[in-house]
Amino acid sequence: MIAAVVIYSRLVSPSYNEVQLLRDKREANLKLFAEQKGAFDEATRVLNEYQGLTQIQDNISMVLPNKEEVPSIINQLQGLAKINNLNIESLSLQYPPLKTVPADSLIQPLGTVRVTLRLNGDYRNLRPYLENLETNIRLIDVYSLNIEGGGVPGKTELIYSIVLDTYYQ
Amino acid sequence: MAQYTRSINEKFLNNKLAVGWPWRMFIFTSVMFLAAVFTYLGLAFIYKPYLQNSLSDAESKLSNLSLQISPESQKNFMRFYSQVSNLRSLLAKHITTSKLFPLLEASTHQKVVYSSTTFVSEERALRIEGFAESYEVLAAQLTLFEQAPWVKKVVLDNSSLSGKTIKFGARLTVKNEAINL
Repeated sequence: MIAAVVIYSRLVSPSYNEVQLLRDKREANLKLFAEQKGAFDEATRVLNEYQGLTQIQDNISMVLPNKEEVPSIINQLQGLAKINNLNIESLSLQYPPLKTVPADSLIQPLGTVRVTLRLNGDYRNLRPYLENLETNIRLIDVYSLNIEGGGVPGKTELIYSIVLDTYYQ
Repeated sequence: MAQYTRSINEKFLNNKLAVGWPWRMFIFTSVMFLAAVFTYLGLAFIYKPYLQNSLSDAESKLSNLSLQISPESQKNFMRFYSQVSNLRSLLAKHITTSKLFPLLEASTHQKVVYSSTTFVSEERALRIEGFAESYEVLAAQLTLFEQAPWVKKVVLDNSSLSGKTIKFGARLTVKNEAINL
């Protein structure tokens, strides 16, 4: 009887506790696996859909590229100025610091290239130029716009200082 | 004599009891002992290894799950997701400055000319400097601004006589809906 009690208390009881722990751990893992499997299946479905969206993906990369792509900005601004009969007098670039995002965020920080542009030309051409900028494939926001040289009789050519923001991530 | 027989019977009966109980007790404790031993052996050498195998199997399945999607695919997808998300927030605040000019032209008095205008989109602030033919014209111009549905607020900063005209500077706050997409 004493041997039975000793075996129970020294061997059976600790083993039972160990087994109980393992069972709990296994249950937790199985539950986690089921959840992860659900998430994995969903991710696989989304990834498969995403593989079919290459055209949209390319278009989005033109609207919001993955790097600054400064030559492309200059080309677009010059091209739009030319078709609207405006002349670029000067162009300078600034790189404001990246907007911070939480460390665990899936969203990458957004970078801005700030372009300061000085143009001259007829006032009638300014509005279509601005419309072209606003609907340009690469997203451009007009941060500020200054028009100088008005109020002089007979003078139609004005000076425009435009500060534009373009983005990348 | 009867007295003597009874005492012998009692003695024998007592002897039976003394021998039978320890035997049963022995069987009971042996069964208990064996049950404890088999339970221990079962737990320690059969059930515990089974659970451990099952646990490591579940863990390897879990770690294999993430390996089934290539890191390149994960990276590309996350970049795409981030682009869409960033784009959505940028488009929500994208404004169309070009809409402002027809509105300003429509709200300008015929006898007023602008020498300079400055628009700062973040503050929705339009700063105007110009010339009015007279103070009556300037007052009429300010009234036009105040009545314009796209103007939230008008402030006349300064005005002075400049030759035969009135030179003035004013600040307008533009309503969001006038220039939002």
